Amino acid sequence: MENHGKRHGGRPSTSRRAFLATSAAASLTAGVAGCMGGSGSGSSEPVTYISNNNSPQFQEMLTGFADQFEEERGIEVDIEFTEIGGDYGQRVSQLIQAGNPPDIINAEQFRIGAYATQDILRPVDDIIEAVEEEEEEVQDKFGFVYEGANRLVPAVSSVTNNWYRTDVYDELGLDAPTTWEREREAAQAIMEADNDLYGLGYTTSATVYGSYHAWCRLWGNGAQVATRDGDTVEVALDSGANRDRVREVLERAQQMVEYSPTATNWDWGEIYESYAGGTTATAVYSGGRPKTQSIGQDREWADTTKRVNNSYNSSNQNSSLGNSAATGYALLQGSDNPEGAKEFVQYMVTGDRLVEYARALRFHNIPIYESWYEPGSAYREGWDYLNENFEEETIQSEREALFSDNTQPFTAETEPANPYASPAFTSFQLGQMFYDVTEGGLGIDEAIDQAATTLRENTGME
Amino acid sequence: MTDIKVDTLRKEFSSDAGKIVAVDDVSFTVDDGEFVCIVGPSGCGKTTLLRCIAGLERPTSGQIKLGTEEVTDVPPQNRNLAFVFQDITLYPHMKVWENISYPLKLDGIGPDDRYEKAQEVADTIQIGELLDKYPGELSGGQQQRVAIGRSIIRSPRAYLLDEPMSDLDAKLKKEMRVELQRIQQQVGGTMVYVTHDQEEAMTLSDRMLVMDDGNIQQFGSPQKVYHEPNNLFVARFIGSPEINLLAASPVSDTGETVSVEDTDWTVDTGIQASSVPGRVTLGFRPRHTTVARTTNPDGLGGEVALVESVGDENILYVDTKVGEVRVVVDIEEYPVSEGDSVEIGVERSYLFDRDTGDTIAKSTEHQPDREDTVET
Amino acid sequence: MSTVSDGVRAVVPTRWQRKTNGVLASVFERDKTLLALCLTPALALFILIALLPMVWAFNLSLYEVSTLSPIWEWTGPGRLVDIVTSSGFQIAFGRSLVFGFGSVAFQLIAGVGLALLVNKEFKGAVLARALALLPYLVPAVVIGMVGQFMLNAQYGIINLLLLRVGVLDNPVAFLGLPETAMVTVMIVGSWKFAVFVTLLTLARLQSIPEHFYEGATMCGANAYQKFRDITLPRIKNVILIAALLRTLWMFNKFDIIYIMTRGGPGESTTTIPLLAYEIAFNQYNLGEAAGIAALMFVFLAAWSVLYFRVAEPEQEVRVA
Repeated sequence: MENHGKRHGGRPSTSRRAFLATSAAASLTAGVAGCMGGSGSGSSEPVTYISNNNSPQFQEMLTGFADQFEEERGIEVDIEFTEIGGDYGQRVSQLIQAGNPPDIINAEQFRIGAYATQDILRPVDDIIEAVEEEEEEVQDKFGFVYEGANRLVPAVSSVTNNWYRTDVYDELGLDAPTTWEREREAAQAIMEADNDLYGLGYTTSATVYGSYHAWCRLWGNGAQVATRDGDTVEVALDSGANRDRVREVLERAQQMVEYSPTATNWDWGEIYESYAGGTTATAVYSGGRPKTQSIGQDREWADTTKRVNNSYNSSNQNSSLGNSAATGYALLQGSDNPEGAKEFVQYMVTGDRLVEYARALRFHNIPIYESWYEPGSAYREGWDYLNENFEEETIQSEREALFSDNTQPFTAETEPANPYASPAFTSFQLGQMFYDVTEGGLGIDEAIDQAATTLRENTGME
Repeated sequence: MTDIKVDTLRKEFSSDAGKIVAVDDVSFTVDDGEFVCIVGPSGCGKTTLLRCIAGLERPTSGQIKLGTEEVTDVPPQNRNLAFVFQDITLYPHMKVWENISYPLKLDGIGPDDRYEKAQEVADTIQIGELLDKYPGELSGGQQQRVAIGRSIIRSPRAYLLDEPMSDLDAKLKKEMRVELQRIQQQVGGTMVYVTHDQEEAMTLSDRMLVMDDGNIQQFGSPQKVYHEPNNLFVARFIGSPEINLLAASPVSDTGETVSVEDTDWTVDTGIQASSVPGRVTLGFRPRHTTVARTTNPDGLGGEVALVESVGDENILYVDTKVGEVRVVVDIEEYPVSEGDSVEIGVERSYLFDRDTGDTIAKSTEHQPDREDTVET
Repeated sequence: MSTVSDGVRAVVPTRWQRKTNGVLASVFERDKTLLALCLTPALALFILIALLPMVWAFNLSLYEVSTLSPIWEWTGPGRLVDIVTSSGFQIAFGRSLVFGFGSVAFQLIAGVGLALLVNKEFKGAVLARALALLPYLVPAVVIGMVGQFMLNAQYGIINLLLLRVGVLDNPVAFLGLPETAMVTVMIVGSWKFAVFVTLLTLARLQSIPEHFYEGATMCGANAYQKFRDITLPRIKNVILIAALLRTLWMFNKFDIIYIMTRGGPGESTTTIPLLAYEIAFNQYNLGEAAGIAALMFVFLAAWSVLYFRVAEPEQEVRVA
């Protein structure tokens, strides 16, 4: 692992900065990027932060944090918001390649491994320590450790929720979809009862959500994507008993798509929209959007939407295993003002700022500080949206799930954490595998082999 | 070749202002091999009539027959008629030979045969050397020849020409007229030729059809139409310079003598009509008019305002009490210059019913004694 | 003459005037200098915005570069060979061919057809023309999203209509099935650009005089022959140029596919640009992505040269 960056050590390598000097076009790019800096107050450069959230509400809020921060600490912060329709990862890589990395980027556990393995993330242990001192202990599963150091400062997290419509389930006398079999029975009954409502949205697509859904399904059967052997991380999909577990999941997938609309191209938007729009009665989601969208669209099932944990195969498992996905901030190597950046990140993930930020997320992403779930906490006190739309039962159920040992990030399949979980995730190979066996016409073993091969080629796993 | 029979043909257009009758129940027959010009002022319906024959317009009612075949409802491409347009319709992306032989292409004839046939036709119309040029490289006259060439290549049942020479200059027009007559003699064929130029119609046609306001005013040989106009409109439209027309009233019942209104002039017409209405128009062509220089004209006369010299002849514009009178005289016989005071004599004249415009009568022959009268 | 110009003349020394005259004269009299002066700005722009990025991409493709790392490791030109021989690239290239040529065929047929339709005189023709040109103003993002919405199997209007009319028995996820996704993306992506063809064609059609058609009618031509002999030659060049431009554009088309399918379902709409994107930003392999971009450039350049050789779209139609 440590040698990753120098794998081809024998060959001549050139640094981006060296190349810059000879390339007029590139220095033009760098120049343009550099323009955003400007000269900061005092001797140090302003802290630069590329934000992935460009909605007007977030722009205003984050700019407000920056202004307040500058007033209090005298450190200037420049925030660049990704253009509407622009791609966040694209913009960040542009700046990195131009030799002008920003101090702070948004990071999520799904993706942070890809940055970490390139050795471009600064350690953030000191920030986390300071945050813990100010708020409370941050559980390890919300962070991301690479080469012995924390690389992610988490702000909020989401948890795997299997949302379902209790109005429909109750009317048909169905059990909550806690296990595979209950989920299947319910889906079948719903399909038979009402032509316009599908049992669930069983997604088999090579998209971000498709990968998420696939991974959750694998976990529901105790299957793993990766395993560790000392310093190497191996693809586990196609080997040993784990392969049988994977096969069972794919067999189940072939069965379950019958109760779902065609979801071969679904991403996050399609799954929550199908639920909020009244097409499906059950939806697995990372976070609260199926419910918050139903609330936002004023649906009659907004109130009757409840959650259970990621469903599991009760024939060989006796508890659920779900995913937690924290999002927060990471600091890039080679940026100009790391000290200011640390201060600003700490500022954003604590106190009133985090309350305001977390509330803006509408209980889709939820706090990583357990005390915040208590009625009367600064977070909940006076926040009508949450207290009026969410029953205490649902709030506490999410809390319980998030802090339970049965909820882990995808990186936790190995110990130490699997840094290649994130390239494996964003390669969409798991979603692709589900697609291959349902719509793509591949045999199950063929699909497993193909996914495993591609993962070995495109991630750092062996 | 065929004759063309048109029977009570009517064509109406609807417009914002309401219904417009372009062709008003017209009937006539063009004989096989005949050259007929349809002539009239613009808007008289002549082009619409021609387009109805071609099939480009659908008549409102009436019948068209080519020979024995009734074609009123036959689409234009199946009538086998050639049409030459006012705007030359050569295709700019086709060479001359392709343009000429285009109808053959539509018949599915191969390029070699077409080229050969086009060569033949081009030789006939004397543009044999232009076959491989593009229309853009030709003069206006050459282009129109190509258009004519295209119309004759397939031996159509008849040729319809819609003012084909209106865009050519005067000299070219004269040449092309001769050429067209030559071609017609060579290929033989029924031709219907629309023009607004009465002179063109006079020179070209076997018979001419004078139209006004959707109606046929007269259909006959150029001589007949010129000398025996059916009505005031035909008399005015045919002949250049235009006929002189004066409001008059008969002195005698037969119209032999008429007095010009608002003057004390009388004119002896030599006409012997059975009955003459009280209000007539006296017409006499400038060529049937004489002048004599006199300081004190007795009767019809006035001052020469303008002398227009056209070859051996002079056209005199004489200002009289009742307006301008045009006279065409031989330069040597009547040496008159501007400013001269002249007396006008009428050799031959027409009387028209001033209310209906119909011709009442005309002087049958040249009357030498009239000259004396005028001259004294 | 005027006091102002007199004043200026008095201020400017004659020596200077003589000097500027001399310089200007030498510039304008020497053709090469003048040529260089005129071409340099355009050339500089071209180099900056077209050539340099290309060279940069070519160079980049010779290195192993992670999207997220500023370290470049030399791998050499063998990388391009690896890309060309990889099945992933070849399959995506095939999809690009299908998408590119299929889209252009659709655009030409629909575009010219629409132009022919709205060129006819009928009630509301002006409105129809304006409406036909409207989609050209709509951004691809909007078209993609609206298209996705309309094509949705559950609440999309298209499924609803087809079900009502009885064409379909069950809703079809047009974008979710490998059999329909490519065609659907092609049509939605082309619908807007068909109007581009309509625009070009319509301008040409309007310049064809009506009597050309009447002349052909009198020669005995039927509707098809009139189209073949009059309309087509007049719009041929426009169509050829449009075909070239559109092929280039459609080959590079990224937005509409990305928005509507992200290359899916599975990989059934993963064309070359989507593959490059996926490799750069999901697999974080910038070097390989640059190699794909460079190869795409080579292919498109070759296609353009071939096209100009064969179709000669620059051969302007002779117009009288």
